[in-house]
Amino acid sequence: MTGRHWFKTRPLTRYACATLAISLVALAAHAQSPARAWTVAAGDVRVTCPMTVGGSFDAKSSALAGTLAVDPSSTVLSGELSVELKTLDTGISLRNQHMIEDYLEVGKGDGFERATLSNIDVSFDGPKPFTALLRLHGVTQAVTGRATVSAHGSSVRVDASFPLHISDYAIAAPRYLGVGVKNEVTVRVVFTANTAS
Amino acid sequence: MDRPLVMTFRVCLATAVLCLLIAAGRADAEPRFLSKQYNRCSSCHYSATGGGLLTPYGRSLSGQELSTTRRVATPSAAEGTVSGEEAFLYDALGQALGPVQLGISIRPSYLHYESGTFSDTRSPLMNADIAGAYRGHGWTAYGEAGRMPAIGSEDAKLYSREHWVSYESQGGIGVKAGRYMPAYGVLFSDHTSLNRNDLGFDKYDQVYGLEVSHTSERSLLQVSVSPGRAESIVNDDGGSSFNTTGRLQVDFGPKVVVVGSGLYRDSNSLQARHGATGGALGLAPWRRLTIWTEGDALIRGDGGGTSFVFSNETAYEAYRGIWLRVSPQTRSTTDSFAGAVRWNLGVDLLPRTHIHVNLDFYHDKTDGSPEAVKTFLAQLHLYL
Repeated sequence: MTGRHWFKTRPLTRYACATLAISLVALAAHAQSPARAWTVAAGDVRVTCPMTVGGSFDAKSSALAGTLAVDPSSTVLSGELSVELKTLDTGISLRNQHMIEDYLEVGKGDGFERATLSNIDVSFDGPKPFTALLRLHGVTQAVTGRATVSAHGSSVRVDASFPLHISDYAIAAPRYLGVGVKNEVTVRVVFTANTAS
Repeated sequence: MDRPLVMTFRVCLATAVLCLLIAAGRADAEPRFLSKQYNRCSSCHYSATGGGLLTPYGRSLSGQELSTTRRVATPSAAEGTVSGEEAFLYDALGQALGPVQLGISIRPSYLHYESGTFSDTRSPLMNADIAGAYRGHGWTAYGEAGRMPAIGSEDAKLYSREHWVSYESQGGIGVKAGRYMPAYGVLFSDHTSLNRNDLGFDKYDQVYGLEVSHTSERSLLQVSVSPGRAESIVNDDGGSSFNTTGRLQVDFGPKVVVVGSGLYRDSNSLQARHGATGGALGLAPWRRLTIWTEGDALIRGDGGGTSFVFSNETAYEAYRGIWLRVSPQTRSTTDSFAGAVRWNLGVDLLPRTHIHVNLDFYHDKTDGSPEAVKTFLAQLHLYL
């Protein structure tokens, strides 16, 4: 009996060999490209704006999108997260209009339409400090905050918050008829991402 | 019409409206705007306690966000002021007042009530007030003048509900002195709510006193000390005595507010020594829904016992400028004071800038009384 004939007449052996071959190819691929991608499935951005007269209001959006690549050998995530600024909602249209048109100036086009977080350096175990670059209103600045990353099966949940100073981004001090927003606001980003190799 | 003629007409209109005022009234505090992420009265009112003259921001909000019909294009105004429909007397005076803000509040009303076989109907002009304020460099000078309607055997008279001067530092420390309503609990717009008149915070219960406050992003603390109720001091009716109140508001977010309050009033010839303490919670779980709940213990000296007062106001904006309200309220019975249960159903219509129509139905049942009192109140509140 020739080897070829032996292979043809033993289906179980043929199946085992095919499985082994596929596994080897997969292992080789993993060894060459260990990074995994996180694609945002659902997320919320909440900017808490303290007012000059006391109290605060939230500007919220669910239009968070982006893909981050996770390299096990590094704490820095490549890729970026972004939010469409025109989707921010403060609960009343007048405030929305002032925020989006007069202060964030989304009508100016590229660099003004979205806020983008990149170069995210984060630890994966428990609430830890993180750093990132935030591009907003055409200006890029480093931000520092705290983030909690927790894995749930094939998805991951991230809850991060950081303060930012409006003046650092060349945004005019928001004032309207004697009521304004203080310079330091707090951004909270919560999202669930699907993980894929 | 040429410009001088227009100005003459405007001045005549302003003068006529001012002359027509019989007396004074005030814009309501509207805690239901918590659902619009307004957790402080000071955004829209000069008084951090709420009510009274609107700031330019509050005037603008009335036209642009709260009314069913949006105000259309507004002429540009000087920094810090409003113009057109939102301005004082529809901008009849233009910028003639400079930094001084004025407001006129008129509130013709229709009232019908019945209990058993008894019923009555009245159409009182509940109030008509003019209020003015100047604010600058942290200082605010505030005054109201108006008409106190005839009460019992007393004729209607001119008086000033509030007049005070305050200063607030950049750090949020504030001092206010004069005649004002002391801060306590939730200032519902209905002064007859059991958490208002039962606790001595009805519409004529202002005090002459000194208030110290601290405001921050997350909290507002107000402490007031006073030699007594202002009307008692003015009329020397024996009802004045030392009293103090404290109110702490903590914001657990733009739509979650917790309030703790306390008051103490020493005895006088009209009232026994008494005090109260209470807590309130404000929630806006959905975009158009606000729920305020307050519970207080009213502790009376000289054997008067302790009453527990509960007030809730749930308000829902069914459509822009149309609010539906339900407000159950109770007061427990003591040996000396009857308990009461009240149901208040209301509709607030805000059809246009500075026009507010209230339609309210009250069902009041007092312990020991065989009949409930049913009241219907319709008010047109013009805030000019």
